[in-house]
Amino acid sequence: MCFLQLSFLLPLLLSLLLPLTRSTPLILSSPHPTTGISPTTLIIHFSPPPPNASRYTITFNTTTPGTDLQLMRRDLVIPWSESHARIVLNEVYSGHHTIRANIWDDTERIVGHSNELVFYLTTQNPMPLPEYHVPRPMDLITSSFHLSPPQTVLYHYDPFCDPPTPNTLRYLSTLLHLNAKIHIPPVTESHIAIAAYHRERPLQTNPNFTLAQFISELNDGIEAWFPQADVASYEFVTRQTGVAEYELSINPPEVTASPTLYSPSLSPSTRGSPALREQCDGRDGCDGTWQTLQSPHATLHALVPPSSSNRLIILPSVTLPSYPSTSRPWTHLTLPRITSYARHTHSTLLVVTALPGSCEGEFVRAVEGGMKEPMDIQVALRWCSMKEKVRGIKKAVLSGDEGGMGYDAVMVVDDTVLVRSDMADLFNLVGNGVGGMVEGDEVRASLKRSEHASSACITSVETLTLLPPHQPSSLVLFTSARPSPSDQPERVQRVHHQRLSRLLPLALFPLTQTRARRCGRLPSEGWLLKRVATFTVSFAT
Amino acid sequence: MTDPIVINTGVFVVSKEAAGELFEMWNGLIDMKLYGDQGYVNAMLNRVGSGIAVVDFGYRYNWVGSFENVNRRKVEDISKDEVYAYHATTGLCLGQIESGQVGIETYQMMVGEEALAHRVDWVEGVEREWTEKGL
Repeated sequence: MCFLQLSFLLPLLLSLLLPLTRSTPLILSSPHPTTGISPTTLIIHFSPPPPNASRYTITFNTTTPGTDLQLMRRDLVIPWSESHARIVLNEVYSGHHTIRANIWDDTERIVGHSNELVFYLTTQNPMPLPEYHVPRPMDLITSSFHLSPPQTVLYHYDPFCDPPTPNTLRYLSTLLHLNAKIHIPPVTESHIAIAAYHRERPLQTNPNFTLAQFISELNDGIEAWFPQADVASYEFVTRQTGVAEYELSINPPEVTASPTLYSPSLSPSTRGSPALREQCDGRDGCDGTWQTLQSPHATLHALVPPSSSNRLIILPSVTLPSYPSTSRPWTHLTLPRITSYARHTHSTLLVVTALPGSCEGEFVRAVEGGMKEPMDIQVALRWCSMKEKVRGIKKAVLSGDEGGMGYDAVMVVDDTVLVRSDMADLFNLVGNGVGGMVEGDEVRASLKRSEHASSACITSVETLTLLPPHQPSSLVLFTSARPSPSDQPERVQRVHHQRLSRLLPLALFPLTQTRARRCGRLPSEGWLLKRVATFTVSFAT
Repeated sequence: MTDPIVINTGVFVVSKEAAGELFEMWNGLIDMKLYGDQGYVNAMLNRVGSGIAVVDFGYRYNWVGSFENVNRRKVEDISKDEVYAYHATTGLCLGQIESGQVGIETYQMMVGEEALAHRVDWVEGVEREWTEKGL
């Protein structure tokens, strides 16, 4: 099968390399198979050259992922008079690549150069991996963010090599933000059938997945992931080869100017802590923009962009003045940077600086319980900050009717994070999902062990809402928790059933008292459990 | 049973749709054994979020402290010039106490003022380098 022989699943990106000479964009298109079989061809396009340019060179640096083994380093010399160049890529190009282009003039001087393009080629895996195991998309997208509109990115998308997964659509939407034109090279019905083959799990062909459906799906996906984009036109082009070519032209959304920061009329006393003001005052876009918000849980300081913004960045930075070990002596560096990032991404920045009220109990226990400075106080405080993150997320996405803020997306950033000014707009990447750095195996294993040890707590604590007996409940379903050998599930189940069956017909599953105690709540007699069955819980042995 | 996805929530983006699914049932309590939000977010992600798309930003967008010591090998193929977000986690405070080897047993966690000072030094060093490069 072709797809098994195909050497590369090409991460698609390609980027405009910006020569020093203005208005002479050097465009790298993504490799794509011209015939649907290996090898893959990298096509390099370039626009009218500067008058004094004679040629350019492209330097490849290829390494094997996870090693420092350098497989190839070579310079390709290409006459500037050529409209494009094709470079055949074979197996040895599998891995991480860096490409840098230099433009030379007739006198052998470098008159321009590009920034470095990083991309990744991997051998096609015949068994599709879960999405989060695909090569890290940001390895590809990173380079595109070196660019800024209105330069053009020409992006070749080949559904044969890269079936239209949600991640693919995110790549596209990200590129659209860069004023990209998407070019889908030869697409045939057979290609689509194979693309569909990859999409299905378990592997099976889907003869009913037609080209039209693919286009429809792609179109829907683009609109879903990047709703501001205006899909202007798309058409098929039949060339002499007889293959269909699909071109999609998309008008990117208008790039608005830097946000006019909302400047509430705040007295100095309401503009956060003196330390915060000191960090903020005089900095670009920061002066006079902090707004103190009322919250039953914590003191919040918000940097508010225009009302059209629907994104929120939460930065928990909680300290306890009485305990020096809880200080955050790096925020004078990290906070201004995340502030700039919030402005760049048109986001509201919410800085949580005071101890959340709900955490006071934790903290008091940490102090009065004989915990030792400095570590335990730090742990207690960290614990509170962590909870504040989750609380903030939930509050942020609730609608105003529910007492929430109604944001469409939330980013949480620790106050220990230092971000570069040109960091990508990560909001653009997540669509309706989530995004973050996926940890490696050792962390997964650690968390897996930990979670397993207390898995029942999540079930009971997080899902049970206790209602007094007189309050009607339309749904009563006891949660499922797999008992440990030391528990007595039959007895416990019987007890709970006796308690609850008197009140409502319900389905009961065992919840052990041991787990309930460990989770801090034990349903007492006469109380109903509501909304427990939102999800099914299963536990590994 | 497949390994769970574990996202470091130091830099974490969640859409409204996904947040609703992940946090709808949250009542203000988190089991501390689950490492706070870190564990809760990931537990919910793996338990109820089977339909939620996960985008891996990659290490460049959350370069944690342990990449400077015990987990250095994981990021050897990434140039520091490609890192967009440095995260001064407590993993940074793993001071190597035995040279010549790389392994958890050769490290010791700094605490208190020493740890604070070390994290500050690290952040200041990155800031200085970026400033010099105009980043």
